[in-house]
Amino acid sequence: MADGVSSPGTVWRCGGGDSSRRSQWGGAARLSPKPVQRLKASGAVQASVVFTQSGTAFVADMAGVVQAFSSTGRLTWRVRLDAGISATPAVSADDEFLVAATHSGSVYALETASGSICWRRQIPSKSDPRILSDLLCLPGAGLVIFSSWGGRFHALEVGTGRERFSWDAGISPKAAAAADRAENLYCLRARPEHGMEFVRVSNQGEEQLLLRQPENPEGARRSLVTAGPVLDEERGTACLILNQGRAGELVVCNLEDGTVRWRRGLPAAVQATPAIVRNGRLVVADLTGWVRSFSPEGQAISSFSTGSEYLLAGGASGSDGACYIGDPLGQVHRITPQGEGSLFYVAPRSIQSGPSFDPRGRLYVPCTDHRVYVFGPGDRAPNEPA
Amino acid sequence: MAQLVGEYTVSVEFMSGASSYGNHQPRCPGRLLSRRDFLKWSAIALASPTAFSSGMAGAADQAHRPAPRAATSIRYCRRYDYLEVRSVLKQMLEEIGGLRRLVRNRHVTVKVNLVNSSEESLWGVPLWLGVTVHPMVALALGRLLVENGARQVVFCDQLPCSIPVEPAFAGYGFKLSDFRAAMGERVRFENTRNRGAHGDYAIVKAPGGELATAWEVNRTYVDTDVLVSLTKLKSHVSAGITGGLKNLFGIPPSSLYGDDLEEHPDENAVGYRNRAMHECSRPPLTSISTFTGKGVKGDHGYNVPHFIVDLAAAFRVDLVVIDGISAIQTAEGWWNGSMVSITRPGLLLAGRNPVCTDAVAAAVMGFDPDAPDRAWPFVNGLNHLALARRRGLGENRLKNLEVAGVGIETARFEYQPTFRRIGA
Repeated sequence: MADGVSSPGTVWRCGGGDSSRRSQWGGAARLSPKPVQRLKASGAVQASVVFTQSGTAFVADMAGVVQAFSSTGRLTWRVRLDAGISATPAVSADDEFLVAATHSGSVYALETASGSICWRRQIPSKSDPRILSDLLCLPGAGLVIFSSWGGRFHALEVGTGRERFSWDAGISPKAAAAADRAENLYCLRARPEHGMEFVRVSNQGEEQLLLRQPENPEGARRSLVTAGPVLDEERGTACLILNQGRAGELVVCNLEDGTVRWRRGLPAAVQATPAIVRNGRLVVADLTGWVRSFSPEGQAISSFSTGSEYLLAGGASGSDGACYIGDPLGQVHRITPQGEGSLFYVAPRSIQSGPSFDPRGRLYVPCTDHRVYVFGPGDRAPNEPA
Repeated sequence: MAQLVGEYTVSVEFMSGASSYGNHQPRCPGRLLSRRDFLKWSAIALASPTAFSSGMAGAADQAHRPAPRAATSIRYCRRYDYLEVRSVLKQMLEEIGGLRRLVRNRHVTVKVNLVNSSEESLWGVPLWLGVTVHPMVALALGRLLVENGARQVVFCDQLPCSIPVEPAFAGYGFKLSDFRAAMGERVRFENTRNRGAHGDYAIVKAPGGELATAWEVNRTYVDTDVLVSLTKLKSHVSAGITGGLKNLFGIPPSSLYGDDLEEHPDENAVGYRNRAMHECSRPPLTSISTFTGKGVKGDHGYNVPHFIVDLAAAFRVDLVVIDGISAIQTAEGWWNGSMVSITRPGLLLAGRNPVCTDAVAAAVMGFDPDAPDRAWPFVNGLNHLALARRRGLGENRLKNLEVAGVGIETARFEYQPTFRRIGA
């Protein structure tokens, strides 16, 4: 993850950790269930926390405020943008820029050191330009990728904000794009009369349809496409969630040509992007509050009920294979590689976005109580009140 | 509710003969009219429209009067657990003055925010976790009403089906057996999509009505002492937010206002009220003309806020309870498709004035309840909270509001805003 693109590493620079969106951190993660820090935000936090190599943490909240915290939890800067933020921002691979996008359809590049606005771009739309999909920076191409409710994915130059290309994102897009090491982009979209589509787009903007599923009987506008594709380049696969009505389907296909390797019907629809943990195990959190895991070959390994009526966000795992998932009751669950779940922590309010790891291996759990809870091996930061 | 403004005193009449409530006759919280009264009143209004307007509740006059205010309480409630909801709600109701004085020995009608189908879900998540009031909140409230001496509690809304009322409500998770277990025989459900078991409709005047001068409705909403609006904390495309006020939109019955009517009223109608009350593309089929014709054809963002206020002027809400434990954001229903998403504020709100309570609700959702028209959250039209204040129905400016419980800042849980309609 050192380069920010699809290689196991150390820096969690975007939603899902790196461009593969696997939500897997390369280091060891032995965590104490007692928060070592509580970072105060200005509103509910519904975007994951992202980091620079030096461990600066960026917290973007629903009040439209972006804050930078040092690894000791000290606030270093704070910037208010034009509207709330729920899309996880992205840090450029050189750690120079943090790119954040708002519900007003504005995209900002901020200097990571100072929070100064380097550029701002308003995404055009006939109706509602809100940006809900997690952002992604491609270091080689120098692009930042996201979608807006204008119905397009956009590729902007990170340095200038100039648009390089865009492509069809389908109806009310929320699912993030992923990228492989060659910086090919992958996305899911729902299009009327076309159905659900999995497409690859080169970093020059050429599009290739890899997989199509017929349109949901209720129509594309009622299709839930929020879980983005997750890439497993070691196995040459992409993991997709294709929801149909009240049920979901987990599909693993070849990255190269979209050929389906296996499909598993799921008893419930899925909103959260799956995680790929150690040894390629897939962890899926569904809209009935269950977490299910599958082998890379598609065998069901375990299932665990969180006790919540539904789950909105996926988990994050460390190299020990344990996966941490927050739920709307404020509970953080730890799920072992064997699939055994236990209650790790209970926050005061709902958790609606995925946790992330900083370069030291500490877990940051965003919460809607205007805080981010930080879990580490137990060492309390000097400025953290007892 | 003495703070409500309106200079016409209209005596309560029961046109359907003997009351079913023994010697105690419930009073109408709104302004009930007989048909004869209404025609007389309309004739005066037509003869002297200026006098009528200012006499009813002239907006200009009201702008200079302090709007009525009442405290709102906000508290955390993590889950739909009966004991937890009841305990939190009890505390909140005490904070806003208690229930006993309001409901003891009285007949209480609870207008529940349900919607036009119980068959749907949000990708498998039941509607009551996003779109409609969760039955556990209704159950806890019902129990507290009974504990505080309510003589009878009627949970009602118009449900778009002609099946018997019990299974109709069961579709929304409201099982009469559960309610009977908690409230004994004092609970009743009523589907108000038509006149129901009543002999006729009630005609209720809307003082200062801009688009509607009166409403013709199922008598459940007027044959009562206390009217409660039990609603959901969610967005609304045309109204910005759903709350205690917007919930009143469900009162006008399909049988007179429904989209599936042809040329005559129909007791079997189950249609929504889009053409009459959103589009203003045709008047309702009420027994007398009640719409002013000032609606703007096709402009939901103008018509819906005005109708909300015209409803609030007619049906004075004594208590609002808002289920904000689990809800949807961006829009109001399953029909908005993938534009909506589920969110979990983990809150309950309660207040005695619907404008004040909804203003606090808007602030909790991260919006300015006094925002200009066509600005978030009222991006597609008028700010009905400000309209309601100007009509003298309640205060919507935060600086003038009293908030109990955890307070707005702590409770604040920003919603993704309502989407902007193309051309709005």
